[in-house]
Amino acid sequence: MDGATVYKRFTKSIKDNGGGPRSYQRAVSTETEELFDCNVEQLYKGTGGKQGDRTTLPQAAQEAYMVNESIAANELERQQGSIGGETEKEVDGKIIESVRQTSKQTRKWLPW
Amino acid sequence: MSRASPKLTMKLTELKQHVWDAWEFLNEWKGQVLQPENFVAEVKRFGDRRYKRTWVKALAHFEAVNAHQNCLDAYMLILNDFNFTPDRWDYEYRHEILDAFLMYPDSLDLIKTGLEQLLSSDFTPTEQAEAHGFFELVEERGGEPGRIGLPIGSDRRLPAASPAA
Repeated sequence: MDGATVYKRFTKSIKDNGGGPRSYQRAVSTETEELFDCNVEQLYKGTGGKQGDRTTLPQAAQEAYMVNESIAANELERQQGSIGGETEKEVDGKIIESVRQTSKQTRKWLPW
Repeated sequence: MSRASPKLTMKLTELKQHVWDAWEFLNEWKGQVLQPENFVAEVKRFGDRRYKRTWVKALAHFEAVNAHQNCLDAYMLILNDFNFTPDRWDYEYRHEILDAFLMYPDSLDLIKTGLEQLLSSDFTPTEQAEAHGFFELVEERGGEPGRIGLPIGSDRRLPAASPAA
């Protein structure tokens, strides 16, 4: 089990809830802001990682993403069928709100 | 929910809404849009707002910045961000968005990393095949003069990943 496997499950849970093409970027942006108080680009630059390859991030950051994406996927799987909306934007907004709430909870357990 | 159906030309009103959505996402922090009054001035950077081409340029730029800024896993550029298919609302502007992304000095490196990840054993052939919109885009660009091509062949292999002769 690694970060990529967990992330695949996370993206599948977004897709299964009807997430559109922009929902994945937004989910990543939301969890990164909530977990690390910066955006993805800043996280890679600030930690000396190679952008686009999460295995180059510090282990603590990789673990935070993995834990959060696992819990966020659980929550989205639980909500499946109850997330609806008239437009793609509305559905994406509800998915992102779910990811935001999970990420806020995860953040409480992180040591930084 | 409604999904955009394939269409030949997007109406300006709809295009403006997508430009706003992309700009809003770019300027959002923890769910709050920062300084929404700056939107008009930022679109003006791309030209006269009475012309559709100005809005297309703005859309391509904001979408490219969003794709770059949020690129946690490079393979998502291939599997999602640039995996344009006719059922997506942004299909019509696929070349403009990719062109804007290619303005980043590290853009080709990110795409190469994404392809290496996607074509590794971490992904099944079925998952790899889901990126057909991206590969079709690359093939389209191969025959277009003036377009920046991508350093991959139609056999979907990277030069560095090709077996030694």
